Amino acid sequence: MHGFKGRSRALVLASLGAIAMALVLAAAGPASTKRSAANATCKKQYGTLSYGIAGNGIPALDPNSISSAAQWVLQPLVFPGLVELQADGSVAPSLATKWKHSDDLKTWWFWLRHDAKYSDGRAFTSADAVQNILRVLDPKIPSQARANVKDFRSVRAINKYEIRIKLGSPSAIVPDQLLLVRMSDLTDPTKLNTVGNGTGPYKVSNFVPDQSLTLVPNPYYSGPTPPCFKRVAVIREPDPTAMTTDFTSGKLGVVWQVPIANVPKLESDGHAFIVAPKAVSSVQAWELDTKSPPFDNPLARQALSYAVDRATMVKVAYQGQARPSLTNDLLSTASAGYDKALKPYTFNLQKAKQLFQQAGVKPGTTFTFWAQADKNPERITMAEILQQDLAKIGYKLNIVQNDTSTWLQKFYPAGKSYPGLIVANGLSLQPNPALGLSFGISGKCECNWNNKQYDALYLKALGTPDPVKRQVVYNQMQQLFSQQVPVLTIGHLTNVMAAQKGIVGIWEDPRGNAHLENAHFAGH
Amino acid sequence: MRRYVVRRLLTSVGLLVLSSILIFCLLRVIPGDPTITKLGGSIEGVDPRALQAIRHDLGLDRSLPDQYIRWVGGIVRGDFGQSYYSQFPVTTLITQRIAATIELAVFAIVLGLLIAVPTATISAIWRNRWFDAVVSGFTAVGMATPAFVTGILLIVVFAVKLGWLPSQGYVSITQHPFESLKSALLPATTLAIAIAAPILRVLRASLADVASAPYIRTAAGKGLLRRAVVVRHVLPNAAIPALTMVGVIVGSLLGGTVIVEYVFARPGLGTLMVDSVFKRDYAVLQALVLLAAAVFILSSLVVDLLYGVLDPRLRVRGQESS
Repeated sequence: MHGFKGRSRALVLASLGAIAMALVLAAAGPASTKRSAANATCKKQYGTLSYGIAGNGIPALDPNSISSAAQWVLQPLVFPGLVELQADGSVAPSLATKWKHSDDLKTWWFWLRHDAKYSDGRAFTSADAVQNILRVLDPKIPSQARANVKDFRSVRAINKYEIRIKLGSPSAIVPDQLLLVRMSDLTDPTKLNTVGNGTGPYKVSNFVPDQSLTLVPNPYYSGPTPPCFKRVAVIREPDPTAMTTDFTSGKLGVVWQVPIANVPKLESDGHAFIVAPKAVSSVQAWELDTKSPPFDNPLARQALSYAVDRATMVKVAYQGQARPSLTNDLLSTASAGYDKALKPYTFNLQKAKQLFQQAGVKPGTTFTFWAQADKNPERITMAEILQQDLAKIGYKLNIVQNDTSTWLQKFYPAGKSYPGLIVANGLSLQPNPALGLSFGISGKCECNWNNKQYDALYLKALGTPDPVKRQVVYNQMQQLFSQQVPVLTIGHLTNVMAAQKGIVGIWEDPRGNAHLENAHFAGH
Repeated sequence: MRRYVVRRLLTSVGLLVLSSILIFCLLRVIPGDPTITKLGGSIEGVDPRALQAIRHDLGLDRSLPDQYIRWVGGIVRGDFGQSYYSQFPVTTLITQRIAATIELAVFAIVLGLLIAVPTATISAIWRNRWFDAVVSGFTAVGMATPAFVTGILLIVVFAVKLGWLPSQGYVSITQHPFESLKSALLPATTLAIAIAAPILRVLRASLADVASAPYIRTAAGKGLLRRAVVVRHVLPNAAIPALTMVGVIVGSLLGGTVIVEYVFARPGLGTLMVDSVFKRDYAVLQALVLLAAAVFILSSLVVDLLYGVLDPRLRVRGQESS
């Protein structure tokens, strides 16, 4: 009896402790406490997942300075961040369990997991988090995350599991801004690209740059998505057609960036399914140099926007895998921040001609469509449609294709002059509306559009905590962007991903990146 | 003979130095910038300081002569530099892939010679018959057809239609010898056809030339069988021009594997070279092109030295001139 009473007392005390802990966590701040969208439900680690990518392989492993879109898949598998992206485009806790901010939105505190470890067994602490954020802030380090966090003025470790971030101006979306900052082991920065030590469910076992990468379970992982495969093999295929062939033959379990032309074949394949994202934040964009003639004149840009038959282009080139961006907006119609009151650029060649003439662009003028030769054939299909339409009103379009390196050198990074060029590009924007719209702020867009009003609205959006009031600012930004047309947005689209039917838990985020961290074979 | 060997060795070293200068300069004049290519795929709003820092780290902000001297200095110490992208040492990248290329090259040469030499010999024995006409047709088609067309045809027939052989990939010969040979058979055959056709053409012409020589007529007049005349007397004397062709082919094989490896998705040096071209990864590309040049120069040297061994007339001439 005595023992029973003792156990009861202990249970009651433990329950009270748990409740008290829950109350403390709830009172700590406005942080979301939801975990990843779909926690793994596998019974045991089983089998090898073969993940196919076409064309370029994975060239390097540094998660904060990526040089190929193929690297994104590794972020949640090997290098989780403080937060993780969810299927609906929101962010959820990952290495950070909760966060809060000061009333003025200029100071943020993040609390970290106590049980996170790198794949070599070393504990992940606030010092690592601070080191990674500071590295991203270093202007000499080329990082995809820097543009989002460059207003961070100080990042400090308060204790072993808490960090504090101070900002130059208020922001209500710091967790979203931290999404692209990934936590890697900075003990030896010279090994960042070759070793790949992270805190994710998998660790790098073998890496041949641009060829193959093998991941195995991280034995020190204790997070919410335990690894379900014994191995994940990232296999580089020579081209998209070969990748699709290997997928249909069963050699590959999952394939990413499937050619649009192969989608009907895969859809009719009873053994496979297309992985569709819940939301889409990538956009097919044509960039114009807004600092040199003729596109330094907004009327010329508007004229081109009216000459672009977005609906036909998207229908023909993307075969239903994209939505036309009729209002010339960075945000898709499915985005929570989309301004439904925007006026569409209805395809109208006569209006285009009239606007071109008002802008002083005479009939007979030749524009150049600048595209890649080695990828994205859909862009050429769209260019050919534009070429025919422009010819009807007396303008010419010269389609020029080059290898990626030559193509990039003409317009990248922002600040280059490329008069008369229409640069076909794809933008993988963050789903948070403010960060998606941030592509238009000064110095970021290769279109060289430096608009102070737009920049001010962006800062205002960041500093507005009330979502309703923030939406008003988003609307103003979209109206300005749509009216000024610094970039022509043609359609919002995703990367097509397909998986064999026996694989479950796989998903694609709004940016078009594959998520395998929850994936496993059905029944295992 | 020793003086001849030393002279050829010195010439080879000189050629290698010239090749290195040419390779270094040519890569710098092609459009595209490795720093921009590295960042342009994924990083928006890049800070100009980041670009400068990368250029500095890669040594691309130095003058071209300085860059060249540092590169050559590294090679002398056995350091070919690091990939601009993966930051793996270039030697590691080459080591990871060289086995696939060597296996393919050796397999292709052996197959090519097995096709060319017996076919040319039989063709010489049965001159002006139907077999000779077939060989003539094969030579023309083999030389005219690009390797990638042959490769795709072989894939369609043997991998897709018949399903006998894999269409792509590589298996290490040390791990699974049979699977390795199986995966190499189609690419090696593709390359072997491209190799066999010119050797066959030269050897056939050479055999015809030698066959009309007086000492061959004498041998035939003594009552020797035609087969014996061809194999014992014609073939050894006709082999020397063909040897030159074999030397040229072996030397250019590294370049020849580029397309074949790409078609068959073989992770060898050819694929590495193609990737490096697209990315403007100068460090890797320079090393690979220099390696190809070195193999060519070395094989030419070996062939030149073999001439002396195989042809007594050259030895005599060499002694007379010295």
